[in-house]
Amino acid sequence: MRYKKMVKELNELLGLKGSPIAVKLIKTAREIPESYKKMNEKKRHCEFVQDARLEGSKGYATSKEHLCKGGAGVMGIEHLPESVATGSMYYNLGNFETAEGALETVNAVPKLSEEYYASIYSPLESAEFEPDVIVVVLTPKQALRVSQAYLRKTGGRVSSDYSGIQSLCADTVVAVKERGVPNMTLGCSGSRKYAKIAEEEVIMGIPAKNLAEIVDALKIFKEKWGEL
Amino acid sequence: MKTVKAIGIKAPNAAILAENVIKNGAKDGLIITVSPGAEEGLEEIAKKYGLKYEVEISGSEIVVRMTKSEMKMEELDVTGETCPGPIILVGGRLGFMAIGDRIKVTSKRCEAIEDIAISTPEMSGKVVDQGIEGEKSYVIIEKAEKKVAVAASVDRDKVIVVQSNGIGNAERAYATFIFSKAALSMGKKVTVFLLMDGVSIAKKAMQQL
Repeated sequence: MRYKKMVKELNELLGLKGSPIAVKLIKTAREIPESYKKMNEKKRHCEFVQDARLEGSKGYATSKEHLCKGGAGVMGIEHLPESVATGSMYYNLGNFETAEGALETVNAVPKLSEEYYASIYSPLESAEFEPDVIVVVLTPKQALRVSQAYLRKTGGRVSSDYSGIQSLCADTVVAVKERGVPNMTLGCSGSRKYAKIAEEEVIMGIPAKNLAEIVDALKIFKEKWGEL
Repeated sequence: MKTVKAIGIKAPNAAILAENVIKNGAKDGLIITVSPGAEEGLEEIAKKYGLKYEVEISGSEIVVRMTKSEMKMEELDVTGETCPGPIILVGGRLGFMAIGDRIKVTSKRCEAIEDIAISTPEMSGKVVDQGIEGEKSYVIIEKAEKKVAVAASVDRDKVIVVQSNGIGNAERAYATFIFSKAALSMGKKVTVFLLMDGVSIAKKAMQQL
């Protein structure tokens, strides 16, 4: 519960809709915190994230509970279906003019090379585990403030990358877990349609180690700038 | 060492990403895999943080190593070890090494070094250099990320050894455990299936006969 105070402050500073979400990938069932139950419904990773964010739901999902095999595949929970791995699914959906373009894109989607047993979800403020990644759903202005806060300590530029497919899984969990730096995405057709990420929202994945600095920087911005 | 796969990210964003990763904790260096052309600007980042810059072309990917110049390398002399001893020893060491760390393996027998070099990809390693120094052959191996098997490929992570020889032919039974140990040291999940006389070696107290 070490994030309770930080989440309270983050909400006061930015006025988030719902909670930041703690996401962790685990290799064995032994890593599941005691009170966490298996998700009782098959859903997509992005839906599990939204449920934790808006309904406060907690739990874990193995390959059996993951409805989106592409999402589970990039997170190392199961093998990617061939149609996703080769890009043929996206080519057939019309996302790409050529099969080569589709393949180039899916090859570039961040994927974890290690195998995982399940993904765990919780609203960050009540998470009983140390998250790999904190996922936050934000308006563009809130994302601006988080980006500015991230850069306050050491400066530089934020680099975010996405391809409009496999967003809440690959862009905000896998990329952030692997690289150890934040990444922002505009979502994908699946997360907009099934998880109901709103039109005015973007999604950021943040390494847990950066949250305290981000909150501290936001406090300073508020002192200096007034309303954020 | 931190390793990041940044395929598809164009220049200069690959350099921005690399700098962010270094600033956000990868002080010992970074191995970043990028698409051709995206390495532009990475050398400047390496210089800025006092890191040694190395580029390697790996198929259609560019692997850029930005490492501390004084990076220490472990050494292992396997002279005198008989097959599969050298592979077991190297596999065991690689199992505890972090991605990007290197080990120099030497032997007076060039065949042993050749065997190790051939087995290296199966042990999640990569041969960086191989040659002869004085009376010894050597191979420098870098711990690499395990390759992900795509749906259409064969995943060879599991090995099954079928054992039909038991205490009636103990010399042949012994070989099973040598194979199994070698496979284990290469990171495989090993199952030994005992049948016929092979079952006799699993019976309690039979090993003392």
